[in-house]
Amino acid sequence: MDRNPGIKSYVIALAGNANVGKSALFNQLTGLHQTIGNWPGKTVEIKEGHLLHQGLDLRIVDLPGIYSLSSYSPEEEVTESFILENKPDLVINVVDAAHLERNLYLTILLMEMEIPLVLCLNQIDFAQHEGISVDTKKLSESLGIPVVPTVAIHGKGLDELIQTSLDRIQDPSPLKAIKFGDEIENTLQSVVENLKTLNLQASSRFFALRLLENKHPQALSLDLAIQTELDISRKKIEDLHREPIEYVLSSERYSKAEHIARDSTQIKKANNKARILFDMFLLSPISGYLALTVFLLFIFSSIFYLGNFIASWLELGVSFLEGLVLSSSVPFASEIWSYGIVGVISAIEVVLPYILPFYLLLSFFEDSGYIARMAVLTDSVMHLAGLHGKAFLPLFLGYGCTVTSILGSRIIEDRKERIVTCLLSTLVPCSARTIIIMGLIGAFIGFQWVLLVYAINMLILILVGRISTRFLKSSAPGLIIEVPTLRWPSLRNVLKSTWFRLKDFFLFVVPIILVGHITFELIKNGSFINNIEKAFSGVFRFFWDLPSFTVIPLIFGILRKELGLIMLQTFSPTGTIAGALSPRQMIVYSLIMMFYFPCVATLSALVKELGWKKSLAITAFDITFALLIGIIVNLGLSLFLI
Amino acid sequence: MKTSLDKLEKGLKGKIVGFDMCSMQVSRLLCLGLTIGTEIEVSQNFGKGPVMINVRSTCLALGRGVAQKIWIETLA
Repeated sequence: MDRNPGIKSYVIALAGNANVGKSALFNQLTGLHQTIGNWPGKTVEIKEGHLLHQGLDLRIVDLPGIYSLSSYSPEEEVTESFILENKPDLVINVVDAAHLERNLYLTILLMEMEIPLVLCLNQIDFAQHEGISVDTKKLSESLGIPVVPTVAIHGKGLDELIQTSLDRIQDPSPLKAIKFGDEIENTLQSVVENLKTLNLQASSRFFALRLLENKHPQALSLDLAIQTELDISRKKIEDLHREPIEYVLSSERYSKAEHIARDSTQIKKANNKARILFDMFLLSPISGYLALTVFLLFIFSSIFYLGNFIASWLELGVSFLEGLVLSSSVPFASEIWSYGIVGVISAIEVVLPYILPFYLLLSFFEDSGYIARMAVLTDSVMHLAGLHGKAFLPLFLGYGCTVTSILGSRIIEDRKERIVTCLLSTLVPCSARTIIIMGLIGAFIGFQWVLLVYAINMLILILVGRISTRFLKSSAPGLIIEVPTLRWPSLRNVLKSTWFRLKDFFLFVVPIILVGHITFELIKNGSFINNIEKAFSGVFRFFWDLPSFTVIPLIFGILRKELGLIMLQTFSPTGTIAGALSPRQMIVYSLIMMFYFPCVATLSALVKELGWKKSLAITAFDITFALLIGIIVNLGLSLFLI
Repeated sequence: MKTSLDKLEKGLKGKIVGFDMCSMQVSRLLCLGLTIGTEIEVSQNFGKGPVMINVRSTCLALGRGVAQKIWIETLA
């Protein structure tokens, strides 16, 4: 896997809780050169970057934010198996100096793995602000590993961190084990003795512990005698404490963390009254929802206005470019333009203006700690659809653009809940679909019908949400999240994460949109399109009582939903939609447009987040659902003679 | 007095005495520091929303359904 043969290379992994500034550290260490690491068998993305230091190539691996290693979440599983299988030369455990006790729990778990470890005591500036100062020497002595204080966001302490890490790699003196109570240590000792007879290569105290915890790696097939002995000693400990072994061990680990944190921390009077008051304001029943409404309106309108502003400038640039290309003497200039360049540009033109402000705001609110508060405030509402508070923001954003909604669903850790959220976001009417609904139903039938359509849509969202969470047996037991301390985000970090997200998005999405566009260009100018219209017109009339000129606009809506309205106008035989469609047909058409197919950009975002299989399943569901709704509504309305 | 966490009003303190849920859910709470005997303080609790608690110098939000299954011994 060495990319630079001849240069010595080390793998250094970053591990830590969520919200400790781990990504900021990663960004600082690796600059703008990051990739999604290609490590075997990974379900969770692992980012990787390089740092050239004193002629050494340091491969920095950013492991997901976790609280423990019990392998109950994919993130924890990935972290543990990465460390066990890839055996990094060193793990830097990033901890938040202001929340040492909570963070040291993971440190203790990592120490149990007996791997080379350095503790990065991050965000010391913030801790000082809160009146907390940590004695790094004392902390290092009680843990038995090097501790380096840093402020990663400003790049402070990073040279020392790297130097200490390299020293540690050169001289991995054995770790001092954090000891449990005597009865557990004695049991561990005897399990270790038993394991020695099996000639195991891996650190045996760690395996002994995992065996005792009943979380032994499957590769290890144990001899029956040892297994029975284990069960007996586990039972003994459980009887002594009158608690399951897991309770006993986590209690002991946490009380160690508590002692170490208390011994090395000094708490003075904090300078944080204003922050605490503001936080109370954000989370109180009335002011909290008021603030939430204001923030949401702000997010929405800035995506909309800023987006339109950027879009209008992009359009100017595009028409300038078009003139340049078409007037050039390059052979096939107009073909190149309409097949290739327009495709790329339209991909950028449609989504960039809106996802740029969205990513900026998402990074800002994420870094500030507000997203967790938003989840807290909306949790009870989201229960209606079988989801939790974390699904609120992505779904709300769906009213703007489904793409942002799907990309935003990444803040949900539980995979099944994320799938349901993505499915629901494809059903939320985005701004393009709103244009169709307003342009047809609003303009020709009446605004109260628009409201009715939106109400029905919400009802459907709730129903589909409930049924699909039940169907997927979404095991998410309820909201359990850490609410990070509020803080003012660093502009640099917000810009950097926006840049990485944009890059990620375009590298993935542009090719798909390009292929979609070229395909449509190719079939647009041929007899093919007439054949399609002919082929489907019978079906359209039979099921939905829609005239044949609606076939092509409906299909082209796949490219961009707005086309479903624009082309309806150009294709209608009478020149106006009002003359060509009855109110019932307008409603049926709008409803089918509302649900039937995620546009190409949405589909590519879906594939990026969930993979092809699930994206196609969601697409198939949407199409079937839309066609059924069309039939039902058409029949229903014809009963009322509309 | 023994009660479930969701019954504890804002500002009240308690000690965790037990859980009434599947072991996987308990595991998640344990590794977040909600071990038996841990002292907690309720920092927000209204409506049908999550219960927010201060525990081990950090703040956690637990959905009401989760909070109903955590047993607390109230402290004065």
